[in-house]
Amino acid sequence: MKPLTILCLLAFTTASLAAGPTVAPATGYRLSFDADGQAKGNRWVVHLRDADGNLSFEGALEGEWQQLSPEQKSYSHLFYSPSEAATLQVFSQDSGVEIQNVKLEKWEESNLLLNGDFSEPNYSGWSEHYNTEFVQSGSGKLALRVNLNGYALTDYTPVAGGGHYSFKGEHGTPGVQVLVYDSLRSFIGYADRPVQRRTFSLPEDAAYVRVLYGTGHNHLPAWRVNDISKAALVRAEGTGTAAPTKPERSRDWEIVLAAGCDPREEYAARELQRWISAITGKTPVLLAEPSKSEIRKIFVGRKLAAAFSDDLKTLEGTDGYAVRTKGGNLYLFGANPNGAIYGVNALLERNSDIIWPRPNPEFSAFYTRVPTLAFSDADFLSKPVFEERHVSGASAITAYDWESRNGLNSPWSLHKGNNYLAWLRGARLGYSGSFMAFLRKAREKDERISPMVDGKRDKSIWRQPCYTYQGTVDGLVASLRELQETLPGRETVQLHPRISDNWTVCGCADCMAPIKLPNGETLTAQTADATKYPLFFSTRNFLMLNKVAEALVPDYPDLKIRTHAYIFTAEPPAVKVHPAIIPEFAAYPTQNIRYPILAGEGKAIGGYTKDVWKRRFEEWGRVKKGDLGYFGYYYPAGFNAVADTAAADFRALADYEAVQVHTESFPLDDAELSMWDADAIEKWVMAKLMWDPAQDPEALRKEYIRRVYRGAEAEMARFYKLVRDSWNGAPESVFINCHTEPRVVFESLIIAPKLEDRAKQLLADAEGATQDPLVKKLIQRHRAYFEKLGGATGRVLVPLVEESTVEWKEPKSNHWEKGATIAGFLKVGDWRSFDNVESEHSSSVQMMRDGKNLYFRFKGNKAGAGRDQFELKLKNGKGRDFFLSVGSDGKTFAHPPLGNALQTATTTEGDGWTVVMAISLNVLGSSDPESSSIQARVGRLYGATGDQREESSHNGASIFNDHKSLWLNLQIK
Amino acid sequence: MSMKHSLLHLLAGLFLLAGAANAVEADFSKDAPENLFEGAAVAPQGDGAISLPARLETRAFPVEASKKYRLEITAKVDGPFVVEDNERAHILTLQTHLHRLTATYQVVFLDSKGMEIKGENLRGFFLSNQRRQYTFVFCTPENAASVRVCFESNGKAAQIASFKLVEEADEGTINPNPDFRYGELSYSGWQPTRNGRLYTRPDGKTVFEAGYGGASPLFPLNESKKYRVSAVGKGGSINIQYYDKEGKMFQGRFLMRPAETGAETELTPPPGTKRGRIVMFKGVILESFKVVEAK
Repeated sequence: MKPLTILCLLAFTTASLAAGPTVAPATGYRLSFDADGQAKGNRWVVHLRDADGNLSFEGALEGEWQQLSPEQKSYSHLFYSPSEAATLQVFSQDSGVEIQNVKLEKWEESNLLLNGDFSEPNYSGWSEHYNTEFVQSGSGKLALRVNLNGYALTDYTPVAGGGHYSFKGEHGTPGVQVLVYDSLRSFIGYADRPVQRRTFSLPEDAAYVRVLYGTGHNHLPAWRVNDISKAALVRAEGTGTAAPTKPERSRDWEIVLAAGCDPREEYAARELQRWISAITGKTPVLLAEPSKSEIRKIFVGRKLAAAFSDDLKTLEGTDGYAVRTKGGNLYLFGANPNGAIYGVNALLERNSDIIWPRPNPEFSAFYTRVPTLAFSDADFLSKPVFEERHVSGASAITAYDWESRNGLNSPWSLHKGNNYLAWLRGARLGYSGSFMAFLRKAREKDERISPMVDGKRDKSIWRQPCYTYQGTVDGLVASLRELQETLPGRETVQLHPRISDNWTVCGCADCMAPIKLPNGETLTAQTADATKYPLFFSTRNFLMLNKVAEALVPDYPDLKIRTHAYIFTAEPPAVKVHPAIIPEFAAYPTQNIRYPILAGEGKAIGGYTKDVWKRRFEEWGRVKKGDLGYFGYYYPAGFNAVADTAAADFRALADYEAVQVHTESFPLDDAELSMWDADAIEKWVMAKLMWDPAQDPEALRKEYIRRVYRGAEAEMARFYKLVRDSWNGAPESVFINCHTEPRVVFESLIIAPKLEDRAKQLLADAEGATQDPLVKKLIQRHRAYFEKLGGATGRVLVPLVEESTVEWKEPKSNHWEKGATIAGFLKVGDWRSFDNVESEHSSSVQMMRDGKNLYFRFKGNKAGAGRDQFELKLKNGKGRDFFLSVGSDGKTFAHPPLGNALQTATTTEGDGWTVVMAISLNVLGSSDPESSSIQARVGRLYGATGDQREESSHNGASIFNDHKSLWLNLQIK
Repeated sequence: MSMKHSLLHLLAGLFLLAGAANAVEADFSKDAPENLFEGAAVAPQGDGAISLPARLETRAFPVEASKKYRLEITAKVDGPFVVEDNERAHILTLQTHLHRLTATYQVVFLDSKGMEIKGENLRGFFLSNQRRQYTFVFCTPENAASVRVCFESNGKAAQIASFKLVEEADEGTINPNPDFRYGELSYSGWQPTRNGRLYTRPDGKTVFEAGYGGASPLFPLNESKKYRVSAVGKGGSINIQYYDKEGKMFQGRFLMRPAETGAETELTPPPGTKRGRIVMFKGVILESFKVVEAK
């Protein structure tokens, strides 16, 4: 460390607060002072005020770490002054403390990270940290140790947008992320993963970075702690733009936030600041004390809501929020910090047309620019119906952004370490995994925990444990006890041990022994087959878990063990489940998600009856009323109206006073097309329903359409009505669940009811109707995804070419160019496996037709030295298959024989060869009289044996693989 | 053609007791076929083979229950629908009900009352215009008392040159045809699905491409015994299915994943198990699958 300039040497006491030294804005400083007379527990405080005497939130340095100690006299503090700072005050709130010998020096090192080498033996430069401690490093230097699930963040470090930087640590860069923020300190992304001494560039709008240190996989001891002894960030000279443009300051609103508040409340306040700025073009300042001006204040956070004790009492224990207007100012708070986040969203949604429709940063927010926001709707309180509102799927921070902005608190699994940014956005933290994963340590020492499968202890992690062995209970208790302690000082760790995703259970004598039930009856199973005896093995499962809960609850009275009621444990057990256990009921996999569970419209197959999920849901709702969770599967693969189903199911859960609601599996939303391009509207509606399922999903859809599709509202409303009517009006036989192929969903809901042309036209009209380029782009993605789903049906329009009657025999006829073309053949596996590997022998097929025949032209490059043949499989209207092959030598084979109904001709020229073929439509008929389609497969076999053998086809699947999804549907109308 | 040795060979084979010495064996270049077949008389032609009529059945040969036997037939079939002329003859035959596109043979088990034991699907086919040996190894069910072989020409011109039925003792496994050593036209009850089939690789090794849901033949298992199971191959997963004495599958579960360097596991069948088989999913290609009793 080499401070350059000594600015002043002053003595302060609490009486001299008004007279501080002047400071330059956005500048690094080292403050040092002596303090006498302090009692333990007192802190020093640094306030950096602007020229008007206002104290910005960034200027109030009141970290918990700023502790004075009777044993210590001299102190130091490194910091960057805020962009408006003009004066500095340092003081203690204890009047008995005398602060003197104050020295303020400019910090002008090339390392931009304050105290990156811990030459100051304190947390300055690292104000925000969790579960950390100072230790002596191997070289004897001071190091900051990040303990399991902890993190350490450098303070906001000013950077130049577009600048190039390099990061240097003493031991490389494990567990390091560089977080990039804009001028409002809104997170805008990660810098490229910092690699030791390698330069990375920052985006143009970067204004600050923070370096985040965390820990990694908790089952790897080496990743459980992360020692930081040196962290340096150096800017490459001459790179980066000048300081960002100063935003115009709002004269309508300022935001006030208590210094030292919970980081999630700060996140909420910054979100409020960010969106007001985006909507109005004017940025409210973020202050730690209200200014004396007439500007209206929005007080954020619990500490500033002391006047609303009744509201706080109402909100206690929930993620709910209240917004109150008093004396012209607004107060926005929750009883817990997440409430402030959701309150900000609600305030903005109720007072503007902003919506956060998708995680994709490009479409993350839609709003209309207005000059001011009046916040006239600012007196409300809301509590979520469900304590836990979860979506699983993508774990990108963009997903947490979307979830947070729409009221969700999906958990982050700590097995890979803490996720600070997800937590900041309201995510619950905990551990989720199979019983066997939780039992990892115990299993290493005791094989009896593993289940008896086919006469031996099966040590696979993909099994259920032995349910009756006491070691299983003891191992789980020990594991949960240990994990419960891994977030010291924070909220309860969410623990989610569950069955492995299969039916295999322990068949040892004890597990197979009859179970005496409390009512005197006996439950038996003849074999260790959970498919046949779900009640027996579900009971075994919960008997075991009950013991675990009984052992832990005396020490952890608030403990909740979340677990799956899934596969065989979906069957409610024949014994009472411990109140500390939250079973997450999963109606999987035979529930038709076009219908609410209580409609009893499942698929009757195997051991499942049509109404099995209704029965189980009702029973769980009865026996776990108030303690029930839920695991949903609302992700059909196509355009849908699944939120209608979710609404009914969520309402039923509300009736059961469920504590948790969930759906799997929202994919990553990025530049690639995904299901978000089909049903973002449903996902948004379901998120809203998770907060309050009493809302009308159709009303929510209208709201979504109004806020998102500016200029195309009418067309998109008609499009979504088409989809919704089809979803709800399809025949009862149309079964859709989360695994139904996209092709089937599209065929059932779009093609079968003949909606395709209408739907496409509405989307095209919508794109034409809007003038908003972002909306246009969004609709273009809908259209592209619609086409993609349509393409997945394998449909190929075979054009009617009048000239084909004569011209088909001429392989070089230009009329072939009018035909449908299939090219780009892929290799088919034989004794070798291929995955989307392009054929080494280029092939193409053209198809056309007249009123009598279907014509094919196969073209291949150089004919194989041995056998080389084009192959065609066709399925007629009666489901009968025809196989045809024509070799480069002209040899033709048809099974069954087609006689005169088949004509072929083969020509060879240069390096290529061609087959033309005419097949009578009378022979083929149509596979589907309604759609006049013929199912077909095309392929090529090059070299029958040996290494040279190569089979290829239009989709990489053997034409002898008869699976229905692999066929082309030749449209001959 | 000489027939002087035929009676001796066939008499020796009337009872298939322990050991290959008691094989039923007929070489139609030397042996008369009368004592081998039921019903219509067939006579060897000048080339030492008999022409297959539309249907031909052997006599029933006594067998022991839950034992492994090997059937060897030397045969050829004429016409263009043979592997030498049509590479797709193989897969088309596999995918056709009862393999009726070509001449076939079927192993039929009879109980002690001479009644056919239903539900066993042990059928092979002839598909080469060269005289070659087709080998079919099978395990008898626990209520089998005798076995007969039924041939059907299915309209093809097929000839059989020799026939041999003998207790199997060379494979060293409980399950039949564990390493596909008999070539790509001898399935021994392995049942591929979809586009699955046996392939002989360029290095001469035959492997089983199972298709999605392809299965092994049934093999005896005893609930009280422990078995060691190994699989060499790649892709997907292998489930095991347990069958009871009625021949009903009563339990199935994941068993293992094959590995190119060999994967191994052990199993003890659940109570009530009399036989088992494996079923393969997600692109399994097997070089071998072996079940032996664990020591």
